[in-house]
Amino acid sequence: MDTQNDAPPPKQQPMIYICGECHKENEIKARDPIRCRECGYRIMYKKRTKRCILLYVWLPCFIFIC
Amino acid sequence: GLGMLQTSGLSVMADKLNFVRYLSHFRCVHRGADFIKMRTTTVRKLLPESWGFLCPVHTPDGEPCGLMNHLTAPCEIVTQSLFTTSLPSLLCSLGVTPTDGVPNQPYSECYPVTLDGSLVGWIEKDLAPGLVETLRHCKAMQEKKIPVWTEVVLIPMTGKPSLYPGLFIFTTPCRMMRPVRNLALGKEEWIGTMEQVFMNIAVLENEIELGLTTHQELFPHSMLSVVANFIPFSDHNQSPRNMYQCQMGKQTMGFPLLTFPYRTDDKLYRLQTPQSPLVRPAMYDHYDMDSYPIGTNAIVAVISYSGYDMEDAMILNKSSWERGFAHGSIYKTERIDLTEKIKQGEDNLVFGIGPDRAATLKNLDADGLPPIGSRLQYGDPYYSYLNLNTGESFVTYHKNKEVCVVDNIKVCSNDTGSGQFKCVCITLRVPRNPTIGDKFASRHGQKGILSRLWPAEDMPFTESGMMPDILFNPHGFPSRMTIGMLIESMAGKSASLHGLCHDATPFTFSEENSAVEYFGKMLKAGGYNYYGTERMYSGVSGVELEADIFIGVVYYQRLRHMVSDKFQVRTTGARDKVTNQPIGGRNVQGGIRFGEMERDALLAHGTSFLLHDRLFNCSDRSVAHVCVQCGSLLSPLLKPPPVWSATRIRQHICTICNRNDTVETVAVPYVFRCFVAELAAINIKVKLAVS
Repeated sequence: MDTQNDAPPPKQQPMIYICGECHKENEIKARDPIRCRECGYRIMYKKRTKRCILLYVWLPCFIFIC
Repeated sequence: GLGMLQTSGLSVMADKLNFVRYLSHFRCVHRGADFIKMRTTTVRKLLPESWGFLCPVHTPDGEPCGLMNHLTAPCEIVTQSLFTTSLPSLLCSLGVTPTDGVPNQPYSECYPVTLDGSLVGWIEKDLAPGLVETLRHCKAMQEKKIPVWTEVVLIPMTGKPSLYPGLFIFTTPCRMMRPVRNLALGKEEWIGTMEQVFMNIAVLENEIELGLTTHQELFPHSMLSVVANFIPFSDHNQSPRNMYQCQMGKQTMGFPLLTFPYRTDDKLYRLQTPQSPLVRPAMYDHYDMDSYPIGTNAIVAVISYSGYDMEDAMILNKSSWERGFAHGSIYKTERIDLTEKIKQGEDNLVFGIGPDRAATLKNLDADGLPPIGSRLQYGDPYYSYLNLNTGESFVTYHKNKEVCVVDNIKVCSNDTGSGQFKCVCITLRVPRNPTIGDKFASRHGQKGILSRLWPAEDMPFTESGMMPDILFNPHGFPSRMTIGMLIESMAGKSASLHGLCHDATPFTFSEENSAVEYFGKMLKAGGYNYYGTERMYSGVSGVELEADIFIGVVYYQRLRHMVSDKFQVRTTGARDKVTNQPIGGRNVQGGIRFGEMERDALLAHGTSFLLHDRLFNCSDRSVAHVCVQCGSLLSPLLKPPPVWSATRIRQHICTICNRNDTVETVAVPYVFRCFVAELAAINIKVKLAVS
């Protein structure tokens, strides 16, 4: 059963977290312990996304755009 | 025991709603829960010994009035135990006869001398004032090892019924003390509560009487608490208005702390563009409140315009709203620990998206968490986690009707640093632009509800083209008598004209040296009307307004009461399981109770059809079968259709009378049927006479 998780998610950028202490970027996978490789700090901040977040005006009625 | 013991209310959450509130939590004194029930008002009164220690303004109105007090700004509590072993011998060297000796005069002519409640000796009546003066001198000058926190009380013999005479010296901790100026020495001296009753302390210079007054207050506003000290020109306001401001200052959306990205408070309010007030009392700078501002300077015109500013409503300029006037946000942090979701001691849950779900959960990142900066709407996936053993994935959805922005996500480990991807803190930001129904207040207890965002082109404008941000109704002034707000408006206007920050410390202006004159002259020097009024033109028609309009700059606070947290609406929705009546509660889309008083109102009004609609049709109307003959609501049952029947014949039959022609349908409240069934359970038959 474990085998299916060993394969990394396809075509996914590795998730990067920033150490709260030394601000080094760490790459952490699902099974890894949460710990900075540089200073050993134990709180990581998720990096701001590079995804495009459209600042669309939320329309209460979608009929108009459909 | 200690007599009165209190079991609850001993700890209070130190709320970081804004810095003023946080600060006042630590300066709050509660008399005790037992006093709330007392019918007399004596326990709530401000006594001579508490003058200057407890603020007369900063107490809530209503039930806890006078029981929940706040320490004045200079007041401090003695925290350390002081060195006193040298005091008895010092006292004896100053003329006190020790307890094992006999004084030169009879005991009735002597004061007992006590140190922290234990008798040290005796002092003759005529020597006592000199001794007190020496002790006070040593205390103020820090001589002869007399600590500054010593309280020296001489209760004189008056020959009249009074307090027990004697010389009392206190050095113990947990006493309130405050600084005053010793006039003889020109130095600050700390005095205690009991001490001050027997001292002559002047407030202002002109109150000093030679040979009688020994001390003077540091400032006239030393009697006010920290929060009350932040009210500009509070000496010009009616006292209750200052009390209201003390309450409202603590409900303001401001800038509570400087470390937003590193905090994990459940809920934090934040004003996006706070400003430093143009008109501020000296204590505002003393406490460096500019680091934690709580409002915005707004151009306020006192005008009744359009009727949307009736009854404490206020109109906001739509353009200033669009520029971000008083925009705020709420930071909500949720800690999600997957170890709490484990069922049978297995340690196999981590955040992530299962390979099968990746397509459906494209809003989430590969780690099962939403991307920072993304918007979450109702029903969007919030986070997802996996069971590593089974590969099963679980998704939690965003269950808040408001649109939230993911502000930051902290991934936490355990103490040993071996923790897996199990514990996260997700901070969501709820943007809260001002909307109609949000509450605002100036610093003078003048609260108002935003009633309309008025288009800028329809706002009244001055000859120079100035447009107000806020329209305030002039009817708010006569009965409330908040002259401080008028002065603040003038002062703010002149401050912005001359590029100054005006001092608004209370008790600096007087009848002779009036504030209106000072700021009026300053306005005139800036080329404006002496009284702060201006000619204005209607924005709708362009016609010049007949009256001159009072317009100036007032510091406005945005209060945390917002409609988005309070509105309640229901058309249809959840109902109670037992009674089938609509449920209550805002977060479950419940209704608002139509209670007895509302019923009385409709009855008195004669609108019985409406009453019937509210209490019956819109509540738990149901159609029940009743047997006319036996009057039972319980006996009619649906007769099972014959096996050969292909059509659905619904026929009710009374199981008592065993016939179906007597069964009729009636509309009854559902809860009545429940009631009949419950009565039947205790052997009470209910018979309905149907006509």
